[in-house]
Amino acid sequence: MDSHLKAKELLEENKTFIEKPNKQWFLKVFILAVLICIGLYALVLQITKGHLITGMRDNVVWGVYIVNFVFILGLSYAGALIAGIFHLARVEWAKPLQRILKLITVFALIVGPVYILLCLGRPERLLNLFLYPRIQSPITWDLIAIMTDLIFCIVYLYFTYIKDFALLRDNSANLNLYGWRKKLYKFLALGYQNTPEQKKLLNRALDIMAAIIIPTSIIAYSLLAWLFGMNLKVGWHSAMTAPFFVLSAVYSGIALLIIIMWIYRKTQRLEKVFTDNHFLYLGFSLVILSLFYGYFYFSQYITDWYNIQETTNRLLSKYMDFSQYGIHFSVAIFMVAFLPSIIIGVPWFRSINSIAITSVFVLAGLWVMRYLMIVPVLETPYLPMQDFRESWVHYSATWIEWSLTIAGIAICVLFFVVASKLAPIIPISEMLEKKGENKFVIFYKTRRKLSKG
Amino acid sequence: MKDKKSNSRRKFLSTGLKIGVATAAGGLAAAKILEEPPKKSEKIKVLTTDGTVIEVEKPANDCKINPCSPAKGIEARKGIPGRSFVMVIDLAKCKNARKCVEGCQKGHDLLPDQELMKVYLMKDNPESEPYWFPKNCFHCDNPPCVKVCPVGATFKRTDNVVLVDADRCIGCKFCISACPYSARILNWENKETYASNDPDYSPETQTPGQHGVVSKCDFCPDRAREGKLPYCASSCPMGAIYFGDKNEDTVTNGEETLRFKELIKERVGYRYLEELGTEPNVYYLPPVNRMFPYERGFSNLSEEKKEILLKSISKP
Amino acid sequence: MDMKPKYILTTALLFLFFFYYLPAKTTAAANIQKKTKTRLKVYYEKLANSDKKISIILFQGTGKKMKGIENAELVLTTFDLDNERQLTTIYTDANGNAMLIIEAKYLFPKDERGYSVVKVMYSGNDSLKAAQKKVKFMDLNVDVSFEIVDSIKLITVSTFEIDSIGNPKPIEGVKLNIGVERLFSTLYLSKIETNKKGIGTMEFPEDIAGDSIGTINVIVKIDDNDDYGTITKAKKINWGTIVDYSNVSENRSLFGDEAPLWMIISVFVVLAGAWYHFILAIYKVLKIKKIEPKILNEPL
Repeated sequence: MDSHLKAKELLEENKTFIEKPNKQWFLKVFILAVLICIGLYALVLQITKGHLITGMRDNVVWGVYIVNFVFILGLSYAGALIAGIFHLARVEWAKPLQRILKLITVFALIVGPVYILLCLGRPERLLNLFLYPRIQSPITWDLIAIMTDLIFCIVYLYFTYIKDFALLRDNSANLNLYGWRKKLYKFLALGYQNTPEQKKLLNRALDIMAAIIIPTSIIAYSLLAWLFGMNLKVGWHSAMTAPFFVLSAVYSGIALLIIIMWIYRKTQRLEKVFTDNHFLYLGFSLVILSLFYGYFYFSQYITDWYNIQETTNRLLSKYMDFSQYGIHFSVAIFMVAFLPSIIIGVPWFRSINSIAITSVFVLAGLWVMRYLMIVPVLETPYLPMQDFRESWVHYSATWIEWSLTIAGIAICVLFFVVASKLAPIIPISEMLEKKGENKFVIFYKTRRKLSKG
Repeated sequence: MKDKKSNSRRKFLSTGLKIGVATAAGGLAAAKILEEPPKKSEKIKVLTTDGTVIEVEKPANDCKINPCSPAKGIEARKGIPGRSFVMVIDLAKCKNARKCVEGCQKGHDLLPDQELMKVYLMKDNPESEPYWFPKNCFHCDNPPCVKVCPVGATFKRTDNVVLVDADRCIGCKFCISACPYSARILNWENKETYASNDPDYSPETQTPGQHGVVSKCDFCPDRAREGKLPYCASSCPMGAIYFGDKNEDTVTNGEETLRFKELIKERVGYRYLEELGTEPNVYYLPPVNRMFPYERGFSNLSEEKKEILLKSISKP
Repeated sequence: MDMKPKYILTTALLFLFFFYYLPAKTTAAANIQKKTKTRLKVYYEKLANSDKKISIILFQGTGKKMKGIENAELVLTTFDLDNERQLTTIYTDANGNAMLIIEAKYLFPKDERGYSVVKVMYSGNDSLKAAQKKVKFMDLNVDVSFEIVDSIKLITVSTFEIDSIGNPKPIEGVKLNIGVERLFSTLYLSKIETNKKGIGTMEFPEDIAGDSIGTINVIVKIDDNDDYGTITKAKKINWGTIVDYSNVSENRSLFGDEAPLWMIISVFVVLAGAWYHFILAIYKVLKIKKIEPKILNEPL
């Protein structure tokens, strides 16, 4: 069979990828483990000594933790949303990206909520959320949404792996693998033999999952946005909050996707899989999203600016004041709203590397923008800040918060390192399916009717 | 000096009266002679008609509302029936003596930096004179904090009071950020007297406190049960804080008792940030015809702190 | 009248005692340790149930330094003409307060002008000086009655003494405060003075809030009168406006314990829709295992 040979070829090409790990792989894991351990030490300190060793205080009750929570969950929902849309729209060129997107979704969804636990004064009482639930609270919405989404995304991820597990099971003789892994593949492949019936069933399941993951992620991230929107705070209680959050999420997701593609392309020599076209297509979507971001931001703030309410004015002047958040704001807004148009938009600057580096800046810029969306707002209550303790008035994160932030990123990377060892980082079997082979489940009957008519 | 004396005398008389009334209500009929030497402070001597002296049990406290002990658990969520607590703060009388803050801290076992009652320096516009602005929780009728609590640890009662059940609070701090009046604090520091799930804990007293949970002004319903004013109102030397029951149409600062509606009507009482629609239960009387110049309030503050306050009210 | 010399003698002896004996004792003690001066305050009060109350505070220092003396023994005496008779001893509490309740029907001896006297004595200790204080009072009776005349609500208060034969004698010019009892204090509505007949009236306002059936507790108080001390009288009547408590908990949907219906329904609908499709997808995948062909298909 043509596709069979091709699959073998592809697998052969990416052999080193999934075969028994070498020293370099263990070194990577070790470095990540050290970073995670530093974070764990900080966590132990925070639990034993209390939250006073973080920068959070009565005014800025949520700091870097909630920024990470929002940011990481944004990446997750973006991954799900983009993967779902690409799948349903049968975007051929996007097929190799599917697995990365779904891995981002699941890993971020596991790590993100940890940050909200770090915010809790009494994390051991988490069970109260189930014992005394109040549906009116945005936290309860979020809890339900995140749990639902986590289950859906993990299952969806597994579904997309089934064909590849079957492939690995059938070709394990040619690969240098541990015995337990062969057994594992056999178990996880669920007896998939690529018979037409099985293929039809699996494809339908994948279509259904992709279809429900799209609204789920949009709803879940909007609910997260309302965690802020439902507060009587200037800068937060805006109808714009939820759509803006979803847009920022997709933006950051695309940026992260480009970065991961770039890393794999550079380190694993996957030029044939992650082609120049991928970078160009995603790069241009980055430009469009940056313009949308600028548009949303502008319309949000021009409205606030014209309505000169006292507290709003105080908040906006903090973004403009270079002794406060002026530098952060101007650098970040340049990175997220203008940089892609310049670097990717102007042909002279455009290259694979420049697109990737722009993505890094965009991602960092978006994190800072989230920080600026949260911390200065908390520092601007209606009443004047008249606390005599400086740390109570201005928030600055301590090393505890930073090291736990780094540890969270390290965990995500570690997940990627392990996952790409377990199975190919590109969905080999999916890539080999011919164009138009799988019709979208919902369209089956419609098409027939339309052609009859 | 004269003021102090009459003040102490007034307090003395009023407590005496309350004990007397309570004793009468509590029932002299239940009087009995005790053989063992009783603890002096818990007994009252009564001279009977025939000239003999008997000792009767002094009522445990001056109970005004039944039950007199602070409500616990589910009971604490209901509220004192028929009551509608309200506070009126006369800004003309405040001179930042900070006795309300201290009284509250003492009564609620707070750390020196934790303030459930805060005194701000406010200035409404560049031309107007600054004034001192004591601010506690406003116990809103439409409380934004209660809406967002995921576990129902904070709740609105029928007697207007918004309380926190520290045994249930998970410390998510959502209520702190939802409150537009910065009325809530978290117990960031651990303290020796803190204890979780203490059988004596009542949301009405908030003692013993707990680490990592939210705390706020509670309008002292435990003291209302004994007919006592909240700590802040009873410790204000200027009598700037009036407290009472809106259903009774009465507020008092301990010295003078006024009709609530008349007071608000005549003195043009207002609620802070009325436009937010939270419907507070704390009213302010405008700082007109002041008893003191606002500078008097700096007397117990360092020069550095004074600078911070003045800077915070100056418009850029 | 033949008692007079005895009276003078007692006074003279007391005089001697205080002016010579006590100072001598204190100066002797002062050589060893300087004693702190103590003060007594004594108040007489007639309670709402006609019981009398003597409240005492024993303290040292004044103003901010004022501090009650704890657990001190106080001797209370009264004077039957010139005979000093001990009533009882009481102890101060932690704040230096002490009190004695005297039942309504206990007959105090009176002097020729009609005053009764209670003397409180503190004998001091190694570090505190002795102190004593007298309080004198007359027993005044207060009666409260309500009537409605031409739809005007009137509170009538009469003040009278009971003479030795048991006949009431109206007292003129007594200043009375009339108010209603509130949770934290008494809300005073009016100040009146009794007329020649010992009667004072007050028109009760229409807009005083009562409880759910309009009951109010009217308080009549004579405040710290030179002759009669403090007298309180309380009587209930349903003249207050009725306060409706039933609507207190209305419209508290978003912050109440129960979520509004639309919210519960929409959460349920969204979740049900999502989970239905999710389970459908799972079912399809589990079917893959079921229909796994026994004969191997071409390898992938």
